[in-house]
Amino acid sequence: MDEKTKMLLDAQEHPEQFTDEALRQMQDNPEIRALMEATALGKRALMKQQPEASHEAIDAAWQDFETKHFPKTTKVLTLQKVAASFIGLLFISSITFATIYIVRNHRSNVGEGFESPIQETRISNPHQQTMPVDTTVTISPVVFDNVPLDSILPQIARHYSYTVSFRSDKSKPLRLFLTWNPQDSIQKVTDKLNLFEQIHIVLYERTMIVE
Amino acid sequence: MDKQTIEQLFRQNYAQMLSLAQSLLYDEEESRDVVSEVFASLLKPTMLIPTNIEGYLMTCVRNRCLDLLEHKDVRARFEKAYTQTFDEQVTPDEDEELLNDLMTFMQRELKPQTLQVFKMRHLDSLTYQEIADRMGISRVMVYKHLSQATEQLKGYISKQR
Repeated sequence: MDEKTKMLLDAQEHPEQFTDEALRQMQDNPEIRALMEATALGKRALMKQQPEASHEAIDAAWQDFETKHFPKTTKVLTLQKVAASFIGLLFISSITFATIYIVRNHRSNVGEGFESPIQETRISNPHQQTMPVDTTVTISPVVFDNVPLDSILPQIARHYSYTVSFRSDKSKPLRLFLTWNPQDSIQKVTDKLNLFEQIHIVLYERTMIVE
Repeated sequence: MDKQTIEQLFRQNYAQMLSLAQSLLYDEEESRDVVSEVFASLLKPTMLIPTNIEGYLMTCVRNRCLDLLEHKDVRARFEKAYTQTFDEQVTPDEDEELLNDLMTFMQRELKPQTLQVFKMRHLDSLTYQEIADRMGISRVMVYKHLSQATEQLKGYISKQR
């Protein structure tokens, strides 16, 4: 038996009998490396003949994956949101009620010729100051799911009153999974897009130039 | 990527991906983790996916396995006959073709007993003594069969390159 082959077989069976250095030296030896590669490829060829995962095994694997990555928190979240909204409504209603009551009371007191007690009007004011009415419209993020770049960019550019210019057709068909928040600045969105290795966008004179 | 798309890809490609991972890692649990990690990476919102997603998934599995192998200590690599000499330029298709050819070669050229010993050692992870006991041969004969198989494989692979 070839000495190197014997050494490899020994090292595979009892690696604990060899020092790390000895094993490393064996691995660096081109002949032993070739034998290792042959063994590994032979093993891989045998493994490939093994039956593939059954439907049941795939089902089980998917359920594991689903539990781990798609936790069923939707209902809880929805309930929490409903509860939060309800509490919010109660809070606002009580403020409104208090305000109406105070204003009516104040008016009736004025009508009757009394001086209104100053401390009563102060009750609703602090709330009104700390809870300004939000008149802005919340814009939800847009998710581009496997959409080509030449469909995504015009939509983004239009939002910021920019135009798009592709210097070449190479990047046009690149398909992206991108979450775009229209409330972000165009610079921020461009920076995010430039994180993709294949994409380089420059902003110049209200144009998104794709290099 | 939405859940429905991921589930569809998972069901279509899981078996093939697991098989590839197992052929590189020889460890079922580790292989399942690799496949799961690859699918988890699709959940990233800014993930850039090429059009040929099946090919992409297989390449991801292969790269992750190679990365894992690279971080195994030298003792673990020897114990399991891991190698770091994978040619990273080889595409998954070429790799599959090589493995198919190699299997054909093993079935045709190795003596049935030699192939059996090789399988017991590398598929069933039996020790040399356990193989000797099961086959009713000496430990020295187990060595000889393994040595013969390894050298024949090495000869075949060097001719292919």
